[in-house]
Amino acid sequence: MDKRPTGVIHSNGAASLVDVIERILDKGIVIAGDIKLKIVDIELLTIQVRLLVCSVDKAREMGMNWWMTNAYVGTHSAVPPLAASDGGIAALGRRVQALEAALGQGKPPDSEGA
Amino acid sequence: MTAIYLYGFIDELPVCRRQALVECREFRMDQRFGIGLLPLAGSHALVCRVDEAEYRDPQSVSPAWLAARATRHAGLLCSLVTDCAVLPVRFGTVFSTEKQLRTAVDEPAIAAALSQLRGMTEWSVKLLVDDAAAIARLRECDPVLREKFMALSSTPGARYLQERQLESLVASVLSDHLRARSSLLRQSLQSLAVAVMHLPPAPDAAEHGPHIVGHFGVLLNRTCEPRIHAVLEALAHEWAADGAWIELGGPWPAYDFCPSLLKPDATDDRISL
Repeated sequence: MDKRPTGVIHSNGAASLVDVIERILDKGIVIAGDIKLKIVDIELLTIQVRLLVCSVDKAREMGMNWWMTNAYVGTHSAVPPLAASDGGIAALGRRVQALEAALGQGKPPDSEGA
Repeated sequence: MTAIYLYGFIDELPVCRRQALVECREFRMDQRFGIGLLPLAGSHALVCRVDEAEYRDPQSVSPAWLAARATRHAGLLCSLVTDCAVLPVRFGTVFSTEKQLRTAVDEPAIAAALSQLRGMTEWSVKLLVDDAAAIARLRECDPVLREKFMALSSTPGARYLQERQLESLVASVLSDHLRARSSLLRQSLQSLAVAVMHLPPAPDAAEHGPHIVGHFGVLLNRTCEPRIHAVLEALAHEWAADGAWIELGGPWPAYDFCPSLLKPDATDDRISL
């Protein structure tokens, strides 16, 4: 069943923790209080909270996307994208078509020539 | 010992809401102490007493500690935006005494900023798309793509290569299409809003499925809210068949449209993420 929304979704009632964290910790006016919260710890905790909620996307946002291109890990990496204008790909396509045509006629695949 | 936690500033609050604020327990930073309004020149500081040691001692800070207090901080400010002008202060602003707070705060600047924000609220507008649905729609409606899909080879090897090439083409067409939609959304917002800001795409909740195409912070005059909601509703309905929808968050205090009020001698030792 298609559960996609079909109009405007109002997210205020169920504002996610990530949205709250983003606003409270990264935004708002800065006034220096005389009691210093351990800000470095807070920043690390902010990352931890975000990672808890959306680990993969946060890691990507921080530039850690090695699994996308790693042939041993990534699910999308085995087949690199093919550029439509790539002459080599077009030639490869013609070669495959010729081979398939030859196979269909019962000829050995390498008789067409490279 | 206790210290003073500062949530933000407001201009005027109706008397009935003041009483509710004092009695409210939901947004207290420390359950032992009520939320207070500290009168300043032309504004009020929203404060709550807290245990000073808790904020000085890094051992007390954990993700759960942080999440609980961040949501209280945000919740209080959000609960007030429909009643008065609200200027949010960044989380974790704590003073040892009221005198320290008054010294650090530029009261005329706060009053001026609140005056600018009076009658306005911030909203977040996200344009999301379900890639699979959007691609299916493109295949169906784009004549060039439809023709190419119809002309795919019947032999598996050639078809495989053609499909990979088409995938690349579809991704490119989809990207242009979504960019145009995002641009149209921004133009629609700009025509009615006081200000529009392009925000970085917030992290998507899921790795697969919908992703955010456009994310905007919008400062709205409250009188314009019904009109902009109607415009967004119309756009969302128009784009629904393409696998796109609009997510609206708000009303928030003007987090993205706050003036810089940091005094020259004050320092901020936060690290940018």
